[in-house]
Amino acid sequence: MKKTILALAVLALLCCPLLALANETIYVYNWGDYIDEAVLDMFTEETGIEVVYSMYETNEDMYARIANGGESYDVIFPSDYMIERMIQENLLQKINWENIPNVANIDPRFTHESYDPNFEYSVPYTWGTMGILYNTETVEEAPTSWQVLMDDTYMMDMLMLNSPRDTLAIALVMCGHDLNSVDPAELQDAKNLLIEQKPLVLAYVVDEVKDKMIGGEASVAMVWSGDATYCMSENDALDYVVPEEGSNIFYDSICIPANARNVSGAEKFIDFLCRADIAAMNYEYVGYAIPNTAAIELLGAEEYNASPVNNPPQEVLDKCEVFKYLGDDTKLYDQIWTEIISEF
Amino acid sequence: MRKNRALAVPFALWAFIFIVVPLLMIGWYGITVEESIPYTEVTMEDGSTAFELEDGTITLERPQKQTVVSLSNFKRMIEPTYLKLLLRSLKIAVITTLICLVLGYPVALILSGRDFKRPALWLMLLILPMWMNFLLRTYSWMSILENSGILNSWITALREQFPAFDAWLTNMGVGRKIIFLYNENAVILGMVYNYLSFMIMPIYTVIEKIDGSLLEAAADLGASPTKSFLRVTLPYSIPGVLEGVTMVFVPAVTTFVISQLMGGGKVPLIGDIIQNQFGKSSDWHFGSALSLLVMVVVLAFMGALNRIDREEEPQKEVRIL
Repeated sequence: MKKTILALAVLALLCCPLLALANETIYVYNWGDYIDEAVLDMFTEETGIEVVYSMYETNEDMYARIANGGESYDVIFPSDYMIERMIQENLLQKINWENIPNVANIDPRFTHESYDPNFEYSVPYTWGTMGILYNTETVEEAPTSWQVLMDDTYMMDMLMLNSPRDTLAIALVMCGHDLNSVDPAELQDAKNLLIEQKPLVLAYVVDEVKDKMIGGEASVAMVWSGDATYCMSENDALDYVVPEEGSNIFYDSICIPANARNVSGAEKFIDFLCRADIAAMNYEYVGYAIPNTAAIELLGAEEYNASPVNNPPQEVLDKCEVFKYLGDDTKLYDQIWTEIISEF
Repeated sequence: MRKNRALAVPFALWAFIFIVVPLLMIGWYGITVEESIPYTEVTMEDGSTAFELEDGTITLERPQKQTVVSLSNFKRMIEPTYLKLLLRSLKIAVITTLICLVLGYPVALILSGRDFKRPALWLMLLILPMWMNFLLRTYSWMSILENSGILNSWITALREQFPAFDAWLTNMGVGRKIIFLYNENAVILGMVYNYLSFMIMPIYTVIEKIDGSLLEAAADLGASPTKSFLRVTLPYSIPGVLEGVTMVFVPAVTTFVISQLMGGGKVPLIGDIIQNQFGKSSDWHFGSALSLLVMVVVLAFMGALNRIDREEEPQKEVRIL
């Protein structure tokens, strides 16, 4: 008798993983710290679909995983230029909107961008801008233009990003060129401008920009709006502006890879993320501006729009542009950037 | 003998998978580039999209990038921009190594002295910080040296306390905040701090093992402490010095995070540029070519050191006799 019970117990244990397998599962691949993980449990509770969640740090990391085909994911969150590249390389599949009714919550201002002009492959999840974070204690007049980055009042008092694409884009805008320019002459202008600016720059930073601005290390810095939100919550003296000349606007969107195994599960998950209450939860956790009108109403539109990060003036927003995928010209940018920083 | 060979199999396998294969991959990436085929998008009669190549052929599939063998990575590498960066990396590595040697040798000597009490405790204190992650240690230096850092706040406090000191500093042309970080010296400081114990340890180990009777004999035969140091301790410690130099120089040439953090991105080293290729710029091919260049430089350096080591050896034997 004992033996039978034992045998049954062993059998039951063996079956456990099989039972788990029988449950429907989706594989989600997202940026680190980019979702309220309670949302994942809620999704499983409501639909019975298990979520296997993993994270990446850069678009390039994610791209390498998907393109090399080692693993298959059902939902990914690439940015604009990466979506363009992945569409070109047949790595994404078109989304069947019939299965995603909540897409109606998405503000049409933020769809049909150049990376997905027919709005077929991607659902915007968050958006943000590149702008200027400044310390109101040391900067007397609120800056409105990128030209503040050429102002020698802030000699050795400004931080720039150590990133070829972002910093050259701003220099191109300051020269009056398109921020996706690959024209060598225009890039030369941008390069000369940044070399001229070099004596004013305290440091070219990456993630350190947040700590340094919060600690009052510099008065002015170019930052992404997501970082600006964080810095402003830690230090009340800081304020953010998207300069009037226009800037880069970026989208992190939800997509389904071409080799996804569970497309219907992925569609359910995307629909779930577009639901007003869920999008609002994620906004409160992540802090990036969201394109979800229904969620903004739920959060209180007035409070949401009070933030300069969430609500740059429409005429400035009209001048903002997404990054295009540069293809082979990425090399050109890298080369020019190396020339700028190695100038000594 | 056979048995012994069998024992080496796991290591050989390990070395093959994690050393030989990656090296071959770096080599392959270095001599290839991704090339995209130029094409234009055309709309077919039925409204679908197709792609026309330059030779006029039309395909329905979008033409994808191709990997082709090319020397263009190496051509790009020998441009002055990259050579300048390599030279600067070498310069900073040499300075770092020399400072580590000058600071580390006396420390090793003192620690191994026969009169020195509790060397184990002191060694422990030297090594203890190394158990922390080096990023953490570098961040600590940043918060000490920053414009809004500890050192500057002390100086400001002193200035407020002593007007004479303040007047003197102002006379010297020193601004309200002293910028310690964001230059080459800060990078060197960060590197010396991080690598110093790699210099001390091997020198200490070698000096500690020197037979005490040799020093006694030197003293008996009338050598002054200076002379016995120059004739006994110094020559015997050379292998330790060479090892220390290698252990500091090699990571110093290839370092990248310290230069970014302490130099504020204004003192880029070749390691930073390589890291960029595998990150933001996403050009593994050029990054691999640059890595090969650094490997050649490091190999040349090790070769030169080996030579010195070998030349030292026969003399040592003469001295023992």
